[in-house]
Amino acid sequence: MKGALPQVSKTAAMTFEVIAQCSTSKARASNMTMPHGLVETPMFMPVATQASLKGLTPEQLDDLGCKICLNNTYHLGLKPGQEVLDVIGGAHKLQSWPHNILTDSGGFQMVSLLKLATITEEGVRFLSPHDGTPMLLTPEHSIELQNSIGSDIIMQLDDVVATLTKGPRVEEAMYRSIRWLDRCIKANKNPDRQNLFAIIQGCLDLELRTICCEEMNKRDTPGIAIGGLSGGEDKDQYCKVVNHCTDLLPKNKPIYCMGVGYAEDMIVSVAMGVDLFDCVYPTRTARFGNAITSEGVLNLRNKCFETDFGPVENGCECPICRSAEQGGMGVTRAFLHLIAAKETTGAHLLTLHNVYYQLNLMRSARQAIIEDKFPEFVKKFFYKLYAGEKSKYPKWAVEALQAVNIDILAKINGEK
Amino acid sequence: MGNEPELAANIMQSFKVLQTLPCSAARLGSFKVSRTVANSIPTPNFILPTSRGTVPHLTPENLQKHVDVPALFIGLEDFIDKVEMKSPLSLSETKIRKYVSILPPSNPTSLPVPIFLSSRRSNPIPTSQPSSDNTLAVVTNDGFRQFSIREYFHMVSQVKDENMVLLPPIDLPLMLIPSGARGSGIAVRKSKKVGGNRARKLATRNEQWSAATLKKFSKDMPVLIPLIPGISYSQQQIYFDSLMGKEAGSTNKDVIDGLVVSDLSSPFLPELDSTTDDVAALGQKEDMEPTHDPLLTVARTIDYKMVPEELKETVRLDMAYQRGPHEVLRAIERGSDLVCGDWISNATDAGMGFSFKLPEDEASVHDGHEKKDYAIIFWDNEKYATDMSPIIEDCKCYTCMSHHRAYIAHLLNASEMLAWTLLQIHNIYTANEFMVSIRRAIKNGSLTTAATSFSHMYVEHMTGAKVNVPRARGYQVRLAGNTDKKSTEKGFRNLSTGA
Repeated sequence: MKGALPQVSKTAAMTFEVIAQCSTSKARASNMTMPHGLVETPMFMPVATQASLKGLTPEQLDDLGCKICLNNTYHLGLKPGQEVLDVIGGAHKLQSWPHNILTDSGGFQMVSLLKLATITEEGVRFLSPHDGTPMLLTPEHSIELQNSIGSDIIMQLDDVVATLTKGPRVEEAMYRSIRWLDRCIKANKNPDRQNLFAIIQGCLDLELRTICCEEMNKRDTPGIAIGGLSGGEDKDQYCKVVNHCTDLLPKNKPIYCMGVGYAEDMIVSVAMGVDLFDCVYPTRTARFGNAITSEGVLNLRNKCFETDFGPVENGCECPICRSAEQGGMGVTRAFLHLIAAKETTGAHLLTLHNVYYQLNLMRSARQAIIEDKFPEFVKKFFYKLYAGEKSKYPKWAVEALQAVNIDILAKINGEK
Repeated sequence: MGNEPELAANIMQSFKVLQTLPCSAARLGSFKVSRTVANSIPTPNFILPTSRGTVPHLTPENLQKHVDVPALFIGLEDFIDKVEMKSPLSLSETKIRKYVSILPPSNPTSLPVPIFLSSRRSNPIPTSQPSSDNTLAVVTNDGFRQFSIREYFHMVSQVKDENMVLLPPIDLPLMLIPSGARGSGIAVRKSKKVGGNRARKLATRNEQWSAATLKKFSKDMPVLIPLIPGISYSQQQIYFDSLMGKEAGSTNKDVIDGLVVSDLSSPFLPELDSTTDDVAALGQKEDMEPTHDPLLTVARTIDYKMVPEELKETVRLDMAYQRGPHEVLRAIERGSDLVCGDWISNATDAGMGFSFKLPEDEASVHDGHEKKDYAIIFWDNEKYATDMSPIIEDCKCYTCMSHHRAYIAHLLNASEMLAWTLLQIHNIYTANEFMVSIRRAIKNGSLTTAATSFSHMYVEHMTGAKVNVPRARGYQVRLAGNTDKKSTEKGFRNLSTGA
């Protein structure tokens, strides 16, 4: 299944090059060069919904080593609005962000707002949350908006249905997404600097996914996303769909799994050949006072952290865990307990930590792939997360990784 | 540590008046905040209050990197718990500077930012119960509590370091408005005159507490003694005489490094008007100043000439809630050396970006021109949506160097937390610049002219500012009004029904 290196794809606005492949699984490391610089995959992209990453300055985000973040087309279309974006000259200028931006199409909002909208061949009809006037979001309008935003990766408008949907609606949505991709490609005014990604639909139906992959491949977009997942499906079904799609998609193009951001999900997906992820989880959960660590999630509002004077995670290199002597802030769990969910700075600090965790997890995975030690890396990751209790490993992860030849139940190097 | 006479000499010099003016009480000075190192604050200046140990909206890193705060103010009531006597801070056995991650200055040759340590916050919420002789009524994160004076001293001994100034506990004549009075049409009494017995009690209690604080700590750190607001100077004469060792038979030889004056009108007392719901409006509102007895030692009207001769050359910290730069100027012209910086954070919370400057040359003032606003209110998205200029041209703060008005207006109207971060960085920077020009004007002898020009140039009471998420809840508004109201509106409606 693996192709020989180098696998390169060069389009007007992107050079994608696979630089290393895991000799066991489908994991790969690649360099993606776009108008606003290099992105090294596997990569987690934090979500700066309304052109800001939840309280962090662009400078702080840059310092974390983030090279690409998400903006939400739908939200930017409402605030500050297309006219403003045109005058300002796009989202990079709006937020003074020197690196890459990816925008979604607004399609996902359809799922979350399904009851409040109707979808026709023309587009999505809903009432404006501003003044209640009827609005129509068409593929052309979505691309036009994303052209105004000027993001480096733009997503097609797809017909998203809830992941667990069954029956003819799934098929309709899948075919409609293909038709809408054609309209999006036609509408994209800036193929020379904005990479339009196709989105694979078809819910949990592998046959539909196959058709969709084949059709989308024909359109030869610079990259491809697997959409319509992370909607409450079982994890094993999610893995089957992803594994199925990565087999069918071209090896010389970036594969992006939309809305995936739990550490375990990302690691398993990387093993299945996915390159890009995004999720609001790390930033949202930070605002609830939760810190993501390699040993699990800590809710710092719990009383037990009130007198815990250690860092969020020992050995963590993030700006808040590093001590002042090491150039960090030396923030303790006790201090976070005092301010989490009470002062905005509490959210800022945990956001810094969580985003760093996600970025660093992907950086380490990339390093392991380059050194061809990825299976060992995955084993160690699960071992640490579950404190060595293999009986607690989730079945779906064990099975999904077995399907790509990684046995996480096997002994790790040095384990007795 | 030097020997005794040397130490005494150092203590004597904690505040130096460098220059005075003929027709204004404003003065240029330098306040040494440490007994051991040469760490001084040039005055006039502001001290910036923290909330739970953080400067609102700024992570320790942004505080270190992007703003230069003259001094911070920390109220220990933020670090104690209602139920347990043992607070996490005490158990940590660390200095408070480390506990709340106040970072050393990025320039290794600079000295740490001075911290003013107090029992209560900068603008304390009135408590429902009165203090007792041995305990101070405080509002902790968990609710009302009696904080024993001994415990306070114990905490101070643990958390202090060599760049700290201490404020003794103070019993304030503040009374809590009964819950439900607000907005219910019940007339709320304005700061009533403190009765004779209460005044005596206040004086005695504060005398004891201040004397104990001086005795315990004034060797190690400067201690600023409170003037009791709401009672006349003559009523607290005894208190001062005692502290200065003037009382017959007194052996008190402690040095008083300065005075703290505060106000009776806490911004948290909804005495102004029961129809406004937000802090900014409360703070900004041009209320009828209660007719103060000129003899009362209330911050807004205080006359430092009343202060005993021995204390005239000590530093004066004005903890009154300032409602903007105009009031800050007035406080400085009254002779205050340090003012409380709550007005900066409150302007930030209200979506304001400072645009004022002290006019330093006569030419910049045009009589007859319409007054300008002293801040940009970024809620006006229409006006700033595509404005790519910085908040102030030529401003060198991080916000103005890296971002523009359009972004701030967008963030604020989208309720993104970064809006307040960027505003706070800019506002602190501008306040610093303001203080620099005030000091320069005193030096040049032009402060009176500059202050007059300032009041002709800028509108004092701006309208249109409002406090929205995310700090619309919490300590600073807890008792000031209805905080349970949902702050966001439902955006989407059902397509078919429109509901």
